[in-house]
Amino acid sequence: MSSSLSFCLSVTLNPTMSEKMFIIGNEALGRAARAAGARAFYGYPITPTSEVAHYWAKQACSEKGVKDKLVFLQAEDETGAGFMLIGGVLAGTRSFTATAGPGHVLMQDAFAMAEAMRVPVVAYINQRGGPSTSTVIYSQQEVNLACYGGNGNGYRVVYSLATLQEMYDYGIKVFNTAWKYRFPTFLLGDGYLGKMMGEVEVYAPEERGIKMEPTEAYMLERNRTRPMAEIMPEPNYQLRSVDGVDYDCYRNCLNMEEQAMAVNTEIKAAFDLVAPEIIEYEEYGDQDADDLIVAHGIVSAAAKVAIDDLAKRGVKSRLFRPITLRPFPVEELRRAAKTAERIIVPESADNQLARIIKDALCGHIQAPIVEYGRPCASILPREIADLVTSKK
Amino acid sequence: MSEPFKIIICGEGGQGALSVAEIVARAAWMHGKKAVCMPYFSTEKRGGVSMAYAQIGDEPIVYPKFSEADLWVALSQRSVDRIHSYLKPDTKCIVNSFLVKDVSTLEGHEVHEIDATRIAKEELKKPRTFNMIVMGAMLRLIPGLDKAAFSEALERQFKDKYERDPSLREMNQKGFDVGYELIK
Repeated sequence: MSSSLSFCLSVTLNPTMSEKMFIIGNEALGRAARAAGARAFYGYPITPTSEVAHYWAKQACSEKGVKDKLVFLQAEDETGAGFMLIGGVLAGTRSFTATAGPGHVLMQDAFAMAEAMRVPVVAYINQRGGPSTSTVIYSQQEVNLACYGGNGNGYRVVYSLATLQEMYDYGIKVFNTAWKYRFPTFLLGDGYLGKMMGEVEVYAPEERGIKMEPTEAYMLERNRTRPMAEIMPEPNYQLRSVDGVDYDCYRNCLNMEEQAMAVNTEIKAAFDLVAPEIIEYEEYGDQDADDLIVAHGIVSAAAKVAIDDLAKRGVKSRLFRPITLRPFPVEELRRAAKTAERIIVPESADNQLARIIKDALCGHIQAPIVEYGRPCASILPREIADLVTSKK
Repeated sequence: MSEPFKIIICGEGGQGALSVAEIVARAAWMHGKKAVCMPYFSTEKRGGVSMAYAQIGDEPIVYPKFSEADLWVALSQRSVDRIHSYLKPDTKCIVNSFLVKDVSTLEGHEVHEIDATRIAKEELKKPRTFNMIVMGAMLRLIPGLDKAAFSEALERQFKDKYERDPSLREMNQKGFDVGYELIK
């Protein structure tokens, strides 16, 4: 009984006390994973995310890291890393990876498998330029990939982050979402957030009353401390049994159309069931304003600065920021958009967030949608303010 | 100041533009200010131009980039062109005159030409003090940060290195003091 569960708890109870630090976003991510009690990192370094791997490698080699049996494994490439990550999770270890751009593309093969098998893999992703190698700097062009990559239907959770502090806060939270709901769960940041340095308050989860979801072995059933039926998060997900061993859908290779449809239907039903619990969004500014800005990630941070500047000039505007891009806060956006006279969508991509918004609002609003796509380029607060003050 | 004070610094790869931005921002933060900095990083290393943004203020700063700088620092001639678009009418400029010979495009701005490379090499006989000289000069133009606070920040920033090699402290402080006296 003292096996995996008690071990994970001993790792979770990190004695770190709350402390304000001046660090880069990638270090905040690494520290968050450590504070969350993650044990294994599988990855391949890539700019602008490499410092997560650097941090973990140092931790794994430290005296405390060795004692905690931390795993740092640099694979031959991101494809290998993605599948190793699945292996770590199946063994019941709180595991994660960190990647970007082309590495994120390669990992989609493994992420699709995790989606098929409901394996709670966690990935920290910093978007960089694209398509292909492009720049190592910044973009918001990995929205499609994070939300809908792979050959499935996009049943994964994607948090889009706007500030350095969120890199830490959600860096912890992502593990709980993954292990509670059993979907691949991603943090979507960008090169700016990964590389910028500023104040981050780090803390141990228990200091904030955050209880870490216990991990449990999917395979290696002899290591399980609870019956499989208790581990699966919702009752409508079919538990299968062969020769007295319970398992859920461990197959990513199926023979019949009917089987494939059944599995996909099951995954969709589970995703739809838990989506309302997972969805997060934020509203900012004057809620009576006619102009509604819809932005995510660091562009939403720029939008807040623009809204404050405009308010000083007597111009009203407001922001709807989806924090979860998957599942998307569809109903909440519809409600916010209902009273808007114009919807402005700035994004450092072409029609990635905008497509999701149009999908959500189609048939629900009359207001025009102004798209401001700046693929791979920053969007300064002033640009957003200019969009608001420009003639309708 | 309600608007953050914005600093852009640019130099040849290896000159330490990124380190300077980081140390200045960290010093301000240690002094109780809000601060962020970010490198404009790219795939180039040697032979490239590197550039960094830093902002210091009283309110939390959420967006790391900006388009107009209050303090503008060019450590080489190529840097002058690279960050020229960040100038606004009242931007204050510092250039490393050892490598920046042509300041004609900066006409109309307050330009401080300091020969940090030569001073570090010939006067202090320690090329590594180059960054400290630049930072000393910059400090004169950053509101709300005084010399004592900055020295204290340096002390904390380099604590481990100073413990290993106490002579480094003296060298850094000297470079910093010399830089500080270059701008009156």
